[in-house]
Amino acid sequence: MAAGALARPIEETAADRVQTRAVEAVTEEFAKIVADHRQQIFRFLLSSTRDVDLAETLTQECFLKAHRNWHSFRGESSAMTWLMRIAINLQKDHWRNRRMQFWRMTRSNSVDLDEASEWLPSGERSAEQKLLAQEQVKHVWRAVDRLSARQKTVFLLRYVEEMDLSEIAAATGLSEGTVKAHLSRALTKVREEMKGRP
Amino acid sequence: MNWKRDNAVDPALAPELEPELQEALLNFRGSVHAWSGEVYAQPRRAMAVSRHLSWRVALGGAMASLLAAGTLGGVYLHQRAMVRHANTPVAAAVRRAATVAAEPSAVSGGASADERKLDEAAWDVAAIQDLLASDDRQARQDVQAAGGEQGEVDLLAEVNSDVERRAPRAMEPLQRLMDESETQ
Repeated sequence: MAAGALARPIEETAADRVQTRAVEAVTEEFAKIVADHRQQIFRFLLSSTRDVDLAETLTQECFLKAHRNWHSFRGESSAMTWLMRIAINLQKDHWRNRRMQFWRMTRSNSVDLDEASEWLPSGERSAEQKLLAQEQVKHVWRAVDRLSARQKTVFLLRYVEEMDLSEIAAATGLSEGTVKAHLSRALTKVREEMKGRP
Repeated sequence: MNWKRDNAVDPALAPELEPELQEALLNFRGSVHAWSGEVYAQPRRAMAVSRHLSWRVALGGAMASLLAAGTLGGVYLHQRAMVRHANTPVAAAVRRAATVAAEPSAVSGGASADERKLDEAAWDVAAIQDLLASDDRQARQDVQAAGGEQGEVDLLAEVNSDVERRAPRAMEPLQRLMDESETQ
């Protein structure tokens, strides 16, 4: 009896150690996921909202939600697709809530088109080439502003995040055919904007 | 899929598109990557966000206090209005008292001094009636329904004291009448 009473705490300690190791392993695994994909998720949310603060907040919420539901991730899609799906849903929820609670927002932090178009990748370009590139970027931003929420998401996932059609379909929950249709309409609007006829 | 592709122009991204559109899309992609990379590398602004949030909380608290104060003030004013409405039957009782007070003199066709006093009393009562006549009908019904007969008796006593206070002369004939009836 006494031996059993003494042995139990030792067994429990061993079980605790195993559990602690398992938790540590999951934490490490998740930390790697965050390190690998945080910037991409942030970039997608930034391009969708053009609001730095909002993009940061939604990125944090995305990983918080992912951490809470990490046990339910079965690896059927890539981690990035799974995270992107969470980010898209969070963004949808945000706009829905904002519509409902419009009075709470006294001002918007969105960056305007001109400011967003000033950014160009560093590289050797002449001043004329830079101006031309900025003008093109501005046209695309204008076209993006005219897209519906779905078209915009699909367009950004394809031409900014470079996801292929099947991955976009998995992240958005749309069929590949629908993704293609949205992309086609989005490109039509970009063409129109570039030709100067909205 | 390669998520860590660099920002160089990649014609494979959209091979089916015309070159001008393709170039625009690739510039767009490069621009978003550059902007995002720059912002992402900056230190987080946790303090600023926290300060902003606390300012919002303080503003929300102030608004809530104002709302609560307004609500309490409204309730208080409503209660006061109800009390004022409750005095409406007083007007009817005052009218009755004035009638009773005027009767003995009318019947006896009394002396001119008494008549003058009664006239003055009637004017005083009429002034009180004017003061009390502004109450609305709904409130009167509510009070009557709630008060009942006991309420009427209490109100009559209140009226007597009120009339006595505001128009002391109005009650003199009534008092005299009561004294006479007691002696008989």
